[in-house]
Amino acid sequence: MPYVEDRGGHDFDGNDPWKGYPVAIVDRVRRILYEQTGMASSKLLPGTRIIDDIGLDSLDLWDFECEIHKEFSIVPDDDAESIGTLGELVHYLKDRTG
Amino acid sequence: MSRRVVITGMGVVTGLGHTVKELWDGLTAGKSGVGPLDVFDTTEFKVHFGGQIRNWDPAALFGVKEARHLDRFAQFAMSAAMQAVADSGIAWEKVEPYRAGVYIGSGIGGLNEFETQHTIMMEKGPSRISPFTIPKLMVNAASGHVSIKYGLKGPTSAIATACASAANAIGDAFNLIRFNHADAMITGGSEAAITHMGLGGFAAMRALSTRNDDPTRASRPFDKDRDGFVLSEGAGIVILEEESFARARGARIYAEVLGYGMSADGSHITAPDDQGRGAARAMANCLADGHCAPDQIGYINAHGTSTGLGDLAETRAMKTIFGHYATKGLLVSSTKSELGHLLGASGGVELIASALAIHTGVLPPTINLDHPGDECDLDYIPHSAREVRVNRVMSNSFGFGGHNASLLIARHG
Repeated sequence: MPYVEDRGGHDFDGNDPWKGYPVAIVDRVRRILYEQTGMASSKLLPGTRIIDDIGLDSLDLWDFECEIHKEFSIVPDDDAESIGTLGELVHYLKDRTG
Repeated sequence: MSRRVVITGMGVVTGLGHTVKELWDGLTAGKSGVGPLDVFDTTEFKVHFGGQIRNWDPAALFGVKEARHLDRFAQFAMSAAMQAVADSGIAWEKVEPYRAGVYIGSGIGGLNEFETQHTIMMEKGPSRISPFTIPKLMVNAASGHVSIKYGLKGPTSAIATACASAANAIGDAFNLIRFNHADAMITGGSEAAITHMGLGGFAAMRALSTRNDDPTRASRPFDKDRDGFVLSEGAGIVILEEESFARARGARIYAEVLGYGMSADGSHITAPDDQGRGAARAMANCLADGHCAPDQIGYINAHGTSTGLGDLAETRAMKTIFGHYATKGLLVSSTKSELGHLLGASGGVELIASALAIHTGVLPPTINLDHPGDECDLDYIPHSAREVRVNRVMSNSFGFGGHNASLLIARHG
């Protein structure tokens, strides 16, 4: 099943939870996670916890890191250790990809 | 104490279809599951055809996440295991988990994953190797994943005896139940070696047919124009259960497993013993194990790969063991004529064909057998299936390394 970008996930007031985040990075991260887990992009929100909510085990996490590395051509540094949510990941990527 | 063991469920992934029904309809119609390969560009290779699995959609079968965790060979195994479990109707929650396990063989294991990651490493460096490389390529990945899926905690292992892998796995699983180490086993074989290295490696050995202009007629066991085997992929998995356990839950019983024999040629890493002495010993051991006289065997599903040496050696071995009866009453066929050679999965698919021969009273033919080769003078059921009620059937599997395995199954009663 090919990836289809779903701009859903708005809250009850119709607000875009990813408002203010760089759309291009958000889309690329959500596509990687869709291809890895099959999770719809509407379920992948800034507050989504990468381990607890997406259910990645240690190998999945390394796999995800490899895919991020490949997609954004960055090598994770020490700051990456503190990333817990997708929102934090997107900020981290934005800071390092300019 | 020896206990009785029965086959209660079956599942396959083959070039003739992804269900047991499609497989059996194709085999008994004498249809070929061989065709041009398009899984990768074979232009530079000597061989451009094989028994490729088509319309394969692992994400639809297992979900995106699990599909990504499984090499193609483990995907085939998982699909066939899921079919076999469903077919058997077994409810694992009613089975003591430490009394149920998984024995799935594979000749090579996750060759696709190995090649993919090796290419990534050479092109982009070792830091880009996927963390799933090892858990996907290891030959026990299929058994491991199937045991995890059903929460089985009993004897679980993987057998790698090249093209005898599935037969050895099933024979070993049979013994585990027979000798009271388990009550139920998921067992068989799986293979996915139609890759650059798989195709190139077997072609380099001159083991493969090069009948590129006529793929469906390339696999022609026992025919004088045979020129090598046809590389195929897929899986064949069965559920074995202790007989009273199966009967107590009202399971449908396809056949009873009566005997298992094995041997090694101990002579050459790829060429069979020219007189088939190792193969003959495996068959003799199997008959003795099942307390069965040679003339009680109604049908043999031969290893019959369509190689010059192998088919001759197996025929000689059958003559050694079955004597006069080999040419006067014994019925033999090779379903590799329809399917090509599924390597480490072949013994699983062929045991299923053997069980269905008993169950349905139809013996699948050896197609493409137009002119029997020198000394190939048994009744190989050429061209068309035959309706014959058989009660006892043997299935032979022989592998590089000199591994020989024979299984004996019988009508249950």
